[in-house]
Amino acid sequence: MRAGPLSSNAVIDELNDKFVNTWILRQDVVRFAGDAAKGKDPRLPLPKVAPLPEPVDARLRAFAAEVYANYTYPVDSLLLDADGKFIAHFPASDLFTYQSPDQSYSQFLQKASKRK
Amino acid sequence: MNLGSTTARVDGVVSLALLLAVANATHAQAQDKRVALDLSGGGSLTVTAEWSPIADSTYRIHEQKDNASIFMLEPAKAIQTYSDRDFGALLPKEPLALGDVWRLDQTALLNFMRQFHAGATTDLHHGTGAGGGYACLRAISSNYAEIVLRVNAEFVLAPGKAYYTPAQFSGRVLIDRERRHVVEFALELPDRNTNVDINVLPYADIVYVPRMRLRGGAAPAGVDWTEKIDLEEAQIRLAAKFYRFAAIHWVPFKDALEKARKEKKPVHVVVLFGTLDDESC
Repeated sequence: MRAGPLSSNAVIDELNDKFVNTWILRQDVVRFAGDAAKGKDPRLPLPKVAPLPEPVDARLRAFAAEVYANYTYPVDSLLLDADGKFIAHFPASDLFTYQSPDQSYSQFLQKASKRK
Repeated sequence: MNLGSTTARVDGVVSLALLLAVANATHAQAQDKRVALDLSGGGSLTVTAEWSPIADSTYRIHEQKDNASIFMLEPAKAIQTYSDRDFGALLPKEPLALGDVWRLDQTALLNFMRQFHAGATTDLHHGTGAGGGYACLRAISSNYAEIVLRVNAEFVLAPGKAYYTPAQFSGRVLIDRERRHVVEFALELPDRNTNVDINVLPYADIVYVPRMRLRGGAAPAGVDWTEKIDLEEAQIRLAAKFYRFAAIHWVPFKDALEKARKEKKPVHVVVLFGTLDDESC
C-alpha cells in the first residue's frame, strides 16, 4: 500500500484536495471502539491492548466502531462520510488483482464524491 | 539517550507536509553555513550489539517446530570495534549545512548491520525498494556535530525462505569536531509492539522484539548546540526520503471526524496491522 497507490502523485494530490486523511493500527481502532469491536469475527482474535488512559467520547467511539465493523484484515483503506458513516473500502489484498492499482485506487476514492 | 522514533501512536501522525514546508524554509537559511565533518582523527569506537528474542507475536510462527531454530537469534558479534574511517564512510565528502539529508553508502552501512547478522541486506525481499539508510545533520557546535540516522534493512535468515525485517532502525552519531573522532554511536529498533515483520514463506507474522541495538561510546555532559533542528523535524526529513506518502496531509485518528465535519469532506482511513511509516507491515 505504502509503495503503491499512496506513493502515486495523482492519488496523493486527490487525497490532499478532497479528503481528511488518517491512518491507525488495528489494535488502536479496537481500543477506541471498545465493546463495539467484540464479536466482529470470532476467528480473528482481538489484539491484546491496554485500555486508553482517558475515556473516549461517544462520537469517536461510534466512528471507530464503524471503521472496525467494515475493516478487512490485515490492511484496508476505508472511506467514511463527514458524519462517520461507511461508504466503501479497498482491502490491500485487492491491489494484487488490478493491473493498474493506482487507477483502481483513484476509482475507489471517487466513490466518496458520488455519496453527497 | 532519547533517540526518539517514528512510533505507532494511538492518534496517528502529524502533518508531515506542513512540517516539511517549515523545515525547507529553515534549511534555506542555513545553506550559507556549511561545515566539513572530518573523521581523520585515527581513533576507534567499541560498539556492543544487543538482540533480544521475540517476546510476542500474533501467529507464533517462530515457535513452530520447523522454524524455532531459525529464530533463535543473537548478534554475530557481541562486541566490534570500528575505526573513524568506518564511520567516515557514512559521511558525504562535501561540507554540510544544518538539516542536510544524504543517503548512506550501502557498503558502509552494511559494515555495521552485519554486526547483528551476516545476512544483513538493504535489498528488502518484498521488492518495494524501501531499503537503505539516510542521515541528517541535526545539530552543530564549535566542538561537536550530531547526525541522526534512519535505516531500513533486513536479515536473510534462509535465502528464499526466511526473513527478519525490523520496522526501522533509528540512530545517532556524535562527532567530536576538534579531535575528528566519533564519541558516540547508536542504532536501534524502536521499542514498541509490532516492530518486526518475520516471514517463513509463504507465511508472515508481525512480532515484538524488545531490544535490537548497536551502541558505543557516550555523549559528554552539557553540549551547548549553537545551531540545531528539532529531533522530530530531522526524523520527518528522514522519513520523507523513504516514503512518498509522507506528502499526504495525515491527521490523528481522534481528530479526523471533527475535521471532516468542519471541512465537509469525507474521511480516508487506512487501518493497518503494523505502522504505515516503517517496514513493520
